[in-house]
Order: sequence, then C-alpha cells, then structure tokens
Amino acid sequence: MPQLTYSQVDRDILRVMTAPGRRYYTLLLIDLVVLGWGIFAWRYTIERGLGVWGLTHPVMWAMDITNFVFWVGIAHSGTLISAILYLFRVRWRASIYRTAEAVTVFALFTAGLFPIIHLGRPWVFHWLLPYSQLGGLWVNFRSPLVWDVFAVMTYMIISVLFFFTGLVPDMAIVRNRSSGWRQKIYAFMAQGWQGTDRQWHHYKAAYVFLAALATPLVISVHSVVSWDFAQSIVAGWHSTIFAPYFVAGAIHSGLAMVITLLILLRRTFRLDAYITQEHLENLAKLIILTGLIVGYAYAVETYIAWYSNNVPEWQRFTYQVTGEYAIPFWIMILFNSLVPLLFFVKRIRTSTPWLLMIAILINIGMWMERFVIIVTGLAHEYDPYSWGLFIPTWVDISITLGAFAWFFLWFLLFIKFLPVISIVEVKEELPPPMKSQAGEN
Amino acid sequence: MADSVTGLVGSFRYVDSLLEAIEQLREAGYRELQALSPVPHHAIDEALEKPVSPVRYFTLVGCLLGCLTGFTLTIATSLYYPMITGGKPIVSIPPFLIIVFELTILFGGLLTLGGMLLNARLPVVGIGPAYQPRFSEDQFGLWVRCADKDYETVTSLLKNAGAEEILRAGQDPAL
Amino acid sequence: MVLQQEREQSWKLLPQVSPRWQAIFGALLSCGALIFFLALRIDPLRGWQAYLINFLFWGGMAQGAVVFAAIYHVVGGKWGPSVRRCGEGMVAFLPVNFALFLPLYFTLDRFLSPARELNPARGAWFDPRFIFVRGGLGLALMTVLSLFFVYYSVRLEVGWAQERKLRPRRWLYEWITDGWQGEAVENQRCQRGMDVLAAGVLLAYPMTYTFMAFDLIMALDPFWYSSLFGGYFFISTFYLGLAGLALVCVLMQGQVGSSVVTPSQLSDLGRLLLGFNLTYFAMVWSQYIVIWYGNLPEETQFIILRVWKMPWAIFSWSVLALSVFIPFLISLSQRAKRVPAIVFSLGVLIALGLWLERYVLIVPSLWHSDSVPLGWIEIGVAAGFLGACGLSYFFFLRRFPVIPFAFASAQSAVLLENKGAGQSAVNV
Repeated sequence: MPQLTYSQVDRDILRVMTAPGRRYYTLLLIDLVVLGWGIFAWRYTIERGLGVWGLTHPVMWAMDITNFVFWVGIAHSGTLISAILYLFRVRWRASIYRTAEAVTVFALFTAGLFPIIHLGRPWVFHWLLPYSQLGGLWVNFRSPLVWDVFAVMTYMIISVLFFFTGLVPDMAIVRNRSSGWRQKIYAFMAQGWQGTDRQWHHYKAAYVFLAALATPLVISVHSVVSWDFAQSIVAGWHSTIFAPYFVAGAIHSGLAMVITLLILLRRTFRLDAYITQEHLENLAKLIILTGLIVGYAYAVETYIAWYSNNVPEWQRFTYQVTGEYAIPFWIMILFNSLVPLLFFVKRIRTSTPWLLMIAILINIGMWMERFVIIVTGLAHEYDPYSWGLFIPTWVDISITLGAFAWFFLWFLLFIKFLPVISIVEVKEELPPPMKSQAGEN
Repeated sequence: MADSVTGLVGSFRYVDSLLEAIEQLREAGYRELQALSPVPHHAIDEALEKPVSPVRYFTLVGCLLGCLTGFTLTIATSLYYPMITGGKPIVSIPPFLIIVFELTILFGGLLTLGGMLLNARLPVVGIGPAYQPRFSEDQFGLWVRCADKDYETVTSLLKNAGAEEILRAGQDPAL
Repeated sequence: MVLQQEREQSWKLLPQVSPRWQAIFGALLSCGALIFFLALRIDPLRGWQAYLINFLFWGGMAQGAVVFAAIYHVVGGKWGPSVRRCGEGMVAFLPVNFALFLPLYFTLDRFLSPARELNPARGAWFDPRFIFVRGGLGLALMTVLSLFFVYYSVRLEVGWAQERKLRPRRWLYEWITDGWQGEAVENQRCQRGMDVLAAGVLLAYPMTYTFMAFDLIMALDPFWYSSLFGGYFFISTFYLGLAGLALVCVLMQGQVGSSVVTPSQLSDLGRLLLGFNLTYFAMVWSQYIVIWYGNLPEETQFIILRVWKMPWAIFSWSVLALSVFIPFLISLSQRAKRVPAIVFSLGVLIALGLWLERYVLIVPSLWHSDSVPLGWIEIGVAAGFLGACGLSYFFFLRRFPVIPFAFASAQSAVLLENKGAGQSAVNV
C-alpha cells in the first residue's frame, strides 16, 4: 500500500457511503423487480402447492435444497477470511474482511429462507425449532435436519455478532460525521464507543475468542449440511468424505463470490489502494487450494465408487457421467476443479477480467455441483422402477433468481450504509505515526 | 458536565509521544489515565500495565454452559418422550454431540460478547468528557485525572511529551 | 556487519551429537533388526504386522515434518525459520524409509490374500505386486521431491559457508554446491527451486498417502471402505509430523538455546498442534458419524470391532485420549504452550496415540486369534525404527545449521532482540 495516512483512509472509505447516483438506483430497481418476481413465484407456490415445482417422485429435493446448500456455502469464505486468517496472523486480510463478512451474513439470510420456502406449509416452519409441543414432544435431535437448524442458526447468530462487533469502532467514526436520524442509528450501533484503552483491550480479547470459536463453527456448519445427505443411505450420498468435501467446496464458492464482489467494488469506487492486486492474487491462490481439494474429492469418489463393488453406487456414478444430467455434471468437473487451475499462471491470476470470469464460472460450477449431487442421487436410487427425472419449472427458476436478488439487495444496502472496508483494521495495518519518523521527513 | 470530572486531555499526533507522556505521568504519580486512540496498540496497553482481559473466562463459562445445556436438552427430552427413530437408541450420544457442539459455540460466543460489553463498560449512554471525534480519526488522546491545583504540572508534562493541544476535560475543541 | 556475524553464528551453533547418543541409537537399531528377524522365525505374521505399523508411523512422521516445511515455504512464513529447518532435517530418514518399504514385498501376499479370497472382485488391482509397484513409485516420488526441496534450501547455506571457508570441505558439501554461481544468482535460483518443489511435495503428498492408506490399510479388510480414509490418513500423518517436529524442536532448544528456538515459536507450534488436533478429530468423527447413522453392516463391522469390542476398544479409546482429548485440554492454556517440557509432552502423547492408531487400524484386520499381539516384538521393531530415524536425523544435524540464514532476516531480528534482552545463544 502506498503511504496512506489515517485521515486519508477515513476519507477514502467513507466516500463510498456518499449519496448514490443514477447507476446505483437503476441496479436497485432491477434488483427489486427480480426480487418481486421471486416473491410472486413463492406466493404462487403457497397458493397452488409444491406441485408447481418440478419435484416429483423420486426426486423430492432439487433446486430448493440446491439453493440452500449453495448459499450456506457462499457464507463460509467470509468467516474463513475474517476468523481463520486472523488467527493465522495474515496481514492482507485487513481490507477485505468486512466485505467478506457481509457476504457471509447476507448469504446466511438468503440460505435461511430456503428451509422455510421448501416446506409445503411454510407457516408451520416453527416446528423445526426446539420447543415442547403438546404432550412434551420435542424435535428429533437425532435427525440431521435438526442438526441443520442448530448449526445454521448458531452460525447466523455468531456471524452477525462477529460482524457487528467488528463494526463498533467504525460506527464511532461514521457516527461522528453524520447527523439527524442516521446519527442516532450509528450512535446506537457504536454503543458509545470512544476508543479508550479499556475498550480496545477487552475488544481485542473478545475478537480473538470470537475468531477462535468461529473457526470450528464454520467447519462444523457445512459438515452438518453435508450430513443432510451423507447420513442417508442413498447411493452416492452415503460417503464419509462429504464433510471435508463440502467444506472445501463451500470455501471455494465463497471465495469466488467474494472476489466477484471485491472486483466490482474496487472498480466502481476506485478502491485500488485498499483492494490491491495482491489481495486478489492471494484469494486466487486460496482458490487453487480449495479447487484442488474439490478435485481430490471427485477423484476419490470415483475410485471408491468402483472399489466398493456396490452396484447401485457404481450405476449412479455412470448415470452422472452419461445420463440426463451429464451436462451439469461435466460443467461441475470443468468449472470447479479444472478451470481454477488456470490460476497457477501468474498472468491469469493478476488479470482482473480473468479473475472475474473464472470466479463467476466457479460459482456456476458449484451451484451445478449441488444440483448434480442432489438430483442424480435421488433420480437413480436402488429400485429401477422408481427412477424419475426432475425438470425445473419457471417457478423453481424464479425463486432461485429471487434469492439472488434478495442477497444483492442486502449487499447494495450495505454499500451505502456501512463502510465496506474496515477503517480501523486498515489503519492498524499502516505503520503507526511515530514522531521519530516524522522528524526525518 | 465539565465540573463533575476534573482532568486534562492532551491530544497527540504521534504514538511515541503518547507513550512518553504516559510514562512520565505515571512516574510523576498520576495513575488515573485513559488513553484514547483510533486504533489499538499493544504498546499502549503495556505502558498502562493492563492485566490480561477477563473476557476469556466469560468464553470458558459460556462454552461449559452450552455443553451442559446441549446434553441436558437432548438427553432429557429424549427420555421424557421416548420414541425410537431410525432404529437408533433412545439416548444416542453421537447425534447429540453435534447439538452439544453447536450450543457450546453459541453460548461461548454470546457470553464472550457479554463479557466484552461488561468489561469495556459498553454500551455507554453519553459520550465521556474526554472524548473528541478526532481521537477516532487520526489523533491520540490522553486524559489525566487531576485536581485543579495540579493543572500546571500536568500541562507542562504533557507539553514536554509533545501534546499538541491541551484542554480541560469536557471542553469542546476549537472547530 | 551484523548480519554477517549472525550468519557465522548459525554455523557455529551446529549442534554436536555426542558419540554416546549415536551409540545408543545404533544399539536400538541393531536390537530392533535382531528382534525383527527373530520374530520372523517365531511368528511371521506378528513380525510383519509390527513392521508395517512402524514403517507407516516413522516414515509418516518424517514425511509430515517435511510437508510442514513445504507449507511454511509456500505461504511465506516468517515466524519460525529454525522450526522449518528442523522439519527439513527429517528428510534424511526418507531414503531410508524407502529402502525399508522394499522388504514389504515379501509380506503383501500374506496380508492381502485373505481379503482377496473373501472378496475377489477387485481383481488385478489388488495383486500384491501391483500394489508394491505403485506404492514404491509413490514413495520414490515423494522421497525425490522432498530431497530436492531440502537440497535447494541447504544449497544456499552450504554455498555461503563454503565461500567464507567456515566449514571444512566434505564430499557432501561439494556435491550440494556443485555449479555454485555466487550468492546473488544462487539466491534467486534456489528460491525458485524451492517454490516449484514445495508445490510438488504438496501436490504429491495427498495422493501418495491416500493410496498408501487405501492399499496398505483399508485393503486389509475384505469389505470395508470409507471414501474419507485416504484424507483422514494424510491429515493424521501430517499431525504426526507436527508432533515429531515439536519433539525435535524442544530437543534442539536444549542444544542451541532458546534464542534460536524461542518460546513464541514453541507457542505457535503448540497452536498448530491444537488446530490439527481438531482437524484430525474432525476426520475421525466425519467417518464415525456417517457410518454410525447409515448402520450398514459392511461399514459398521470395521468400526464396531475396533471401538466397541474388547480388546481393541482399549486401543481405540486410548488413541482418542492420547492424541485428541488430553492434548486439547493442555493446549487451551496459552502459557503452557511456551514451556518446552509441556510442548515435549504434547509431542510424546500425540505420537504415542498415533502409533496406537496405526496399530488399531491394521492389527484387527489381520490378527484373528484371541491374544493381543503387543509385546517385545512390537516394541523391539519400534525401537529399531526409532534408531534408524534418529541416526538419519543426526546425519543431517551434524552437517547443516539449525538457523537457516537464508531466511535469517527474521531470525536475526530475534537474535538481536534477545541479545539486547541479555540472553545469549549457547555455544556448543
């Protein structure tokens, strides 16, 4: 980073929060239209029943759960960057972790919609929560679906907590510069922060422990989500590798989403001094790692499908490769494990257009992966007579797009109401102003 | 407001000036100091000789509480309304451990936050007398509690260390 | 110039290994070999079982430590150059380990045929000769990549020292610095070499160890399979490597002083151990919970035999206690991880636990009588491998400095800092 001063950091980052122009409002409008359409599609579903989706025996989970797992996955990279890289004392995380954490929180808001949406009777979604029903019947704690409730809820609460804790010192800065109703809201979020030594001292301690708690949490959440599938005995689902495979895949897609959004932010708001080429390159290197893990998982699954001598397992594998869903399957293999290998080439991982394109391809590939796992697993189970296909309807697709719009709505609001880069952490990474050095200038 | 707390606030542009001021004031016997800074700096904590933060104990208690709650919730409710699902035992520890783990993290996190708020004395309703917005931007502040008669001494100590502006606590800075 | 002094110091701090210790390890090696050959006469299955367990254990420990050094290089770590060099040192055992792989040829048939008879479906893939060849190729690849990675690392050291005539000439030093083109050029060349080879080590490691696990452990059971088993094994091996590294670093600290292997480096190592403790347990758990829930007999029989049936249950729970639970509790304290004795005991506990882990994975598949094969044969063979491992490590230690001055800027800062604080490095 070129030699920035504290006040310059304030100026540059707060500049993003100034009143938006026509481009922003246009984006917002388009977003709201798509979201509205998605809401309409959901209302349509509630009115007519789940039959308006493409779900049919035996494929009773398809795009609903694909979207759920996809968004929970996207959420993971934020915690990786803010918590895990923090514990490893990785310096470059400072200017990107706020955006990544925002992605986490909003992705969880999006993911949390789907367990509700995918119920035929969403008004009874509260039956998922642990409380005593008539006669003392509680939820079935032995079920992976209930583990999901606990894991995703815990993750959502802890992520929001972590996000807002990290925001407190920044909110003090914004509070000082705003007025009217905005000032009241920021003052509330700043909790009276003044930056005293006492406040910093306990803040730092709490931050370390929250990061230490968030790290095993993030691994456990996507492991629990993967166990929605692995705990069954569906051929192709019942596989011990699912937990680390899904976690790696989650971080893979999350990093891709973070890169996409960082590149757009950097370009739009001229934040090149903060989101540097080095940051993007380091994220690209992490993607190589997660891509390799995902590729490893594909290879091992193939090997074990053969090794196991399990006829349904093997036929399901061949079905994936050559059956009706072969195109999504090959997209998955290509975009998730092979395309990211391009990042081994320095020229590619330092070129913003390439980064953006590959990141988008990875997200497409990861969405396809969840779709392929879920749908091919269910479409071709043990009894050939019950094999069937899932063909998405306009309702499925509309709800999927609506979810994307929901996520981007939150992100658009975030850009204008909260600092997209952590002012305090960026300042922390700069050398502190020293009299001894100033004397030399 | 300015009368209820007596003290002086010096503002510094440089961290080492602040540290020097802290050292000199402590030596001179002024122990009630509060440093205000836009960023945390471990040297400040060291200069003020702060003990290790007790937030860690909140975390520990939270985790233990969560663990206990997880076991109690799952085991007690299974025994209360015993139903065999999937051929698994009524009290099946492996799945219950997952619930226990999640609640351990949840309670640990919530109590960590609680511990931080409690120890840092947040939220604070009014802004303290020593605070000035520039201490969140690019200046460092040092608030020294002292009686009126000591103002001269403290002022000269602060100026020697390199304070740029010295105000009485609660006085608005020029601008 | 200050930096020059520190670099010279790093050569002066070359630890000496007393002839007494060399003799002790030599004795361990010979006793081990003797016991092994005796065992082959008395009970070949038991002897070869012990051999396989120890081969996977000691070779894994050495490889895991080298993988740590490779990761440290790839991420551009700066917190512990001496720790990295201690890890690199374990490469000396890898060629020995490869040589020790070769005798397994004589036993693969004994290990694999019962399984193959019960379940012939996998056919030629499980021909013992094919397994031997692919295992050997994988190991050879790992050994070569690891050796070349460390080669580039020590080349810089030795070349620099040779330029200043700090050490007498040896054939090894000559060979390493063959074609030395001066510090500036070599710096770049060796860094590039390390970049490429570290990546190579890291790419080859998971695949090689996955297949070692699949072929040498999982295949011993005719029906059982677990897709995570390969991943579980290479994480377990890396964890083992870290434990071994902890042991070695503490011993080195005793030799070269705590300004070289500092308490904060030990603390960081302790944190890594904690992190991989949890990762290791996650691998164990991911397999257990899926197999438990699915309740499919072909999968559960493997677990039930080891976790719920005596006598193997004692071993499994000991593994968890020694490698997971006790180290977890110890590692929670920040102060504890700075104390060398505690880090050492962490290393011992974890290593012991992981030895038992390999035992309990392999033995119940092969040993079908009622007794428990744990006695003088297993301990003897373990001692033999320990002797070989120790002697190889001494070989490395006596020739290359513990502080890699090539990365000495970070270390120099530490040395200077500690000099200012009044600590001085121990002169051997």
